[in-house]
Amino acid sequence: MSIETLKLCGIIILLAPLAAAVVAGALGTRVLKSQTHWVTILGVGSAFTCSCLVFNQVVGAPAGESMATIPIYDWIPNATASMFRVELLIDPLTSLMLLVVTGVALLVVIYSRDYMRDHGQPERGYERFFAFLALFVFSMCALVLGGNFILLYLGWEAVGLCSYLLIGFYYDRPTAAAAAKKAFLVNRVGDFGFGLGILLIYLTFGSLEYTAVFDMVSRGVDAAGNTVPSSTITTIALLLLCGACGKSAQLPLHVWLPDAMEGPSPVSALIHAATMVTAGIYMIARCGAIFSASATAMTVVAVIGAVTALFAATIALVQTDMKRILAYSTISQLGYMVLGAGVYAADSAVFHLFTHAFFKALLFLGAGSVMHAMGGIIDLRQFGGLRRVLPWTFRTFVIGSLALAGFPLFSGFFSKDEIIHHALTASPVLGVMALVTAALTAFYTFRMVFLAFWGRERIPEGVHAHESGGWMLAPLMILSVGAVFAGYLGVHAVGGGFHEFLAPVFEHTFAAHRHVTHVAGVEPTLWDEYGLMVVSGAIAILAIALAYVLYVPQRWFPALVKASAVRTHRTLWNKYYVDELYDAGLVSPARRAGRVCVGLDDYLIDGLVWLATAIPRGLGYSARVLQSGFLQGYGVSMVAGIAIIMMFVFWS
Amino acid sequence: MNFEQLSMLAPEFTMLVGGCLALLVGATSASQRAQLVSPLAFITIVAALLMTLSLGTPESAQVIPGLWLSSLTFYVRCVALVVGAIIVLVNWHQPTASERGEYMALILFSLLGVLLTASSNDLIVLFFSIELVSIPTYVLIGLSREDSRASESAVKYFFLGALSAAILAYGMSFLYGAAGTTLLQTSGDGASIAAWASHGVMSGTAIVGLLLILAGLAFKVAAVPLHVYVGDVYEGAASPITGLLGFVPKLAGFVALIQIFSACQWDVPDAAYWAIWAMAAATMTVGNVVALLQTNVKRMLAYSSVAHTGYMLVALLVGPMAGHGPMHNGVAALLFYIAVYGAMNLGLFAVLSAFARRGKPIETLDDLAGLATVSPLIGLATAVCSFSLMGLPPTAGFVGKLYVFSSAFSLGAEHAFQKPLIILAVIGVVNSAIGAAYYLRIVASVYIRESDESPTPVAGHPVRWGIALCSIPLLVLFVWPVGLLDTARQASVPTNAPVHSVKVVEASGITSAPNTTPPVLLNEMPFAAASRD
Amino acid sequence: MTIGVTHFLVVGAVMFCCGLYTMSTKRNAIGILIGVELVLNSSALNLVAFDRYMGAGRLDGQIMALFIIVLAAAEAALAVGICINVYRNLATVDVDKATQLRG
Repeated sequence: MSIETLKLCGIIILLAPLAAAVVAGALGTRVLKSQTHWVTILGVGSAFTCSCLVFNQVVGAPAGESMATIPIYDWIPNATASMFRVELLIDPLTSLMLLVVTGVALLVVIYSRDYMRDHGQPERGYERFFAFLALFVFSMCALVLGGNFILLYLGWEAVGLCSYLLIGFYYDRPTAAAAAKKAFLVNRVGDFGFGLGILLIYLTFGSLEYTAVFDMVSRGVDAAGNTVPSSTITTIALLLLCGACGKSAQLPLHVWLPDAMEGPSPVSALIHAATMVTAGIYMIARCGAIFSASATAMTVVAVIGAVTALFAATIALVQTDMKRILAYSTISQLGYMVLGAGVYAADSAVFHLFTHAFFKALLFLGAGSVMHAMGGIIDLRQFGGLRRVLPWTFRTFVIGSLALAGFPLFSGFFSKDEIIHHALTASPVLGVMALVTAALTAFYTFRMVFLAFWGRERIPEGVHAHESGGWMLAPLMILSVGAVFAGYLGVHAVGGGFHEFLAPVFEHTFAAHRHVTHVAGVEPTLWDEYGLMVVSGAIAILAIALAYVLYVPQRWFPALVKASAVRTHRTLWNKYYVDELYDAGLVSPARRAGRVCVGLDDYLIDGLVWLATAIPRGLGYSARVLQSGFLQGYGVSMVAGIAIIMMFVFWS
Repeated sequence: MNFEQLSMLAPEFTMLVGGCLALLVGATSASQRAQLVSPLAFITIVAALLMTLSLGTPESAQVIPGLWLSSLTFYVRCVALVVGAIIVLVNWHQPTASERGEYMALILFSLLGVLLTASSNDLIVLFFSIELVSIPTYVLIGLSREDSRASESAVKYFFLGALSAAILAYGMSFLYGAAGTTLLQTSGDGASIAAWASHGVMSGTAIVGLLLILAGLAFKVAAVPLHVYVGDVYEGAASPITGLLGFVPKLAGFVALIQIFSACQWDVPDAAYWAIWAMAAATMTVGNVVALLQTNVKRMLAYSSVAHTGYMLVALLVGPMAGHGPMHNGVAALLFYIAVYGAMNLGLFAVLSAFARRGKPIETLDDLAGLATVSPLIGLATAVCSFSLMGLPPTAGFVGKLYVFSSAFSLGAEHAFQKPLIILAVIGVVNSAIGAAYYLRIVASVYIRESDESPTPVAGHPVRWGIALCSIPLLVLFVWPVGLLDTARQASVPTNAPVHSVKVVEASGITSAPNTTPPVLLNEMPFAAASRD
Repeated sequence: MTIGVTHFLVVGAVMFCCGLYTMSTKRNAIGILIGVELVLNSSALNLVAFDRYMGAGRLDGQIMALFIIVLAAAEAALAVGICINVYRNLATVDVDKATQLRG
């Protein structure tokens, strides 16, 4: 790999979207107006081009040389502490993530050109939207490219900020403002743990550089050569996991993601499905050395992933808001990825991340297209039978749904199957949970598809339904190609080399520790390899068929469920009352405590502050005596000051 | 002196010619032509800047015995011209068209003075460069607006400035008497103050001279106890020119201090060192505590400029060769800090000059209320500049304070003033906290406070560009401070360091620690006693 | 008694102090200007004296003294301009009246 090329590309990947954000933000309202999207397309497009170049370089690199740390500059030159260095780490994982981030972002930006218009007129805040989008791409690329934990943390916070800004894009809507606040606060909880984890890494190893830290972790020693207790490693891993739970919406910090759907649909597709929420998975994969060094932490990771996957899938069964269904399905799929990482199959997790980016972005953009056509309505109870009204949206949406449902030979099938396979090998319980989740996934996905597109054509009153234009359909089509074929990259039989490509990243971390769960020496049998595929494929097909039977011919089933299983339905409808639990257990007490604090603040703290400022104020009043306004008074005090200095110097 | 040597002074000549042209163009009666003056001044400065950049860092070039170009010259030229260009932008429509010719010419001459200060190698040149900086500013204040406060401000600044100049000249006469020459440095064996200082002990005459020079320059940089004029002068002058007052004399003063100190081998008697120590502590504290009481933003910023002088004096005391790392170079920290200070201070004054309330220029905290609603971008710029003045990330002010204070913490135990400097740095940190209180009031006014009558924007595009050019670099310099810092580091170890100066380690650019000073002998020279009487 | 450098310095110091005294007592702006001139000229006297007795033969002191005389002249011109400006605005050249700015 040519370091110079990589460095140049890395800098362009970072600076092009940043420049686009600045230009769109500064000139958008006055100069660019309805053409602002060109700036962002240009910025993200250049980043995508450079990502392709980087990917090409990494693929073409000879074995063992596919990883490079590229110092850009020292924040403080020659400083001993490496935490002040700005450096990029480019390896197969990074190059893949870059490709996903910039590629999906480019499509989403193109899609937004029409989506953010109302009857051809740009919505209010059009330029703000594109500025934030470009800023997000910059932050996400910084997160992925950063060569140390500081940059990771900065990117992590910056994507959180962009997410906050974009969820609250329609800030005059109270629900949007509340959702943005919720996302921000819940993420703070996770970030707090994440920050503590990074701090603990620094305290333990004295460095925050990936290569240095991971090297020390794998040798089990700190910088001075002392052995690091495994409990410390476990603590670090769990604290980092805390951050991953927040960002990737895992239990118990998943509550923000469904509400985040208040943002515009392209934002949901890009940030809350394809890229930002996968940052947690990326982080776990990147810190493989730390996680895989602690079996305890890995168990926690796997359990959280499996439980989240199942938990979110059940909630998705009864929701009626298309975007919320997709949101819960995202949580569930992220659970799969976390589960994959937790059973030492990080490459499969990243593979699922990769395919998921295609089909989930596709589904969100498709839902956005439906929403656009329905005049902003996204509730499945209010429309149906849109098959003929929105023919292209329908076709692409079905492709995305098949991929999500794990229908055989679609991308999601291969990647999900791998994770289920590894989970089964590691623990039958986790494996069965994953299989059940797969069935539920296929069911709720097609419940949504059938309700939205099949049956009698129903369109909300006063809505002129129309198929979207080319700006929106082109990204849908490109993504659906990916949703079909991306999975084959991971299939050896057709020459897919995905796992070999990622192997250098994980060979010393997850792969080396896989023996913990996988019995050594036992060759996988044919049944292991393909039997599971048959089973999970059959499960998906059956679940889809069941959904068809229940939801297409007559619509008696929903009513029956509501009537017969009232309590279950209500529990699921209310998402297991987690929000209410948090509200009663955390938010209300916090609010009460807040009131007490306000009282304290008004009297005690303000008093203390007054006392603390009294000294400088007193000094100030005495020093102000000199400022009489009389010229000669000033002259005399100057000369007197000089005289005092003279006397001090000569009499001391 | 041949043409090649003269061409090294191209930026200075450009400024001189540009200033004269501005005078001529401004003198013509047609107001159309008066409109040409501001662009002319701007182009002049940009041209001078381009010449500076194309000349690069000269290899210690002595043009005439009194002028010596060095890496310090290069750095100061760049900083002065960049900030100077922004000053011209901020003053673009100042004052009335009929007086703009003189006005812009005076700004150019004042900047020319800074450029000459940075290359002067002789007390005579140094003194007159400093006066070239100051004298135009007296006039500028009076010209800046038709207001009795402006003339009061001008008269105060003029008489106190003249007094300080006289004290400076008096001090220089003693230094000349002690050293027998006015040359600061020579490359060969010739007589110079540097050669004289490297011979060791300083006489009483010399110390008197040094202290008086220090006092004279303390006025220019607004250090206690010569800071008394600042509040009145800043408040009286129009906001756009206050931006100049806060930066240009300060830069010239600090550059002159660096020149004098490096001629003295950074080796002053202990008692004088303690005097500067006390001055630095008092400057930081007085500046901040008095600023805390102000409601007039210009006055507040005036005292804040005193406080920032205090921070820079800390770095000056550390000197260029404290420790062994890039964070350990006080002079580099000072040079970095003053460049950042120039941008953040000018940014706030530019904001003040960009608005009016009830038909009058805004001055008080009340006037600022609601600014962010009127103009979100300028509100943001105000916040950036204020945070930078507070020294908070993500702004260059944070990096600057980090350099300044960490340079004070970095002295080795062999340095006689290790502990006092650490105490000074701690005082500085406490002062930064006090300072945050009043800068936050600016931000609070702009963002939180509601007003029955919001300020109305009155500024044209040049002022807006000026605000942008002040605030954006503050963010950029936080992310990427290395470029400026490296230049500052090179400038802190001037290329004209003479042979008998402390030895410069070529590879690392780090100089060895100064030897500790032996006790002062007052009666070493026959006339020392006389000067004490 | 031979006249040495010390004598000149004493005269210079006396001039310096007289200048300061004038500056701090005269309320008339022109009077203050005269005080400034005295202080400036004390440094000129010092420079010439040092040049005569201590100089290295390069006449540095004399040159600087000449320049200081020029500066004094320039400052006088400037002072008159500023005084006129003050007089226009305040109808007086009494600096004690110029105390709007304080605090």
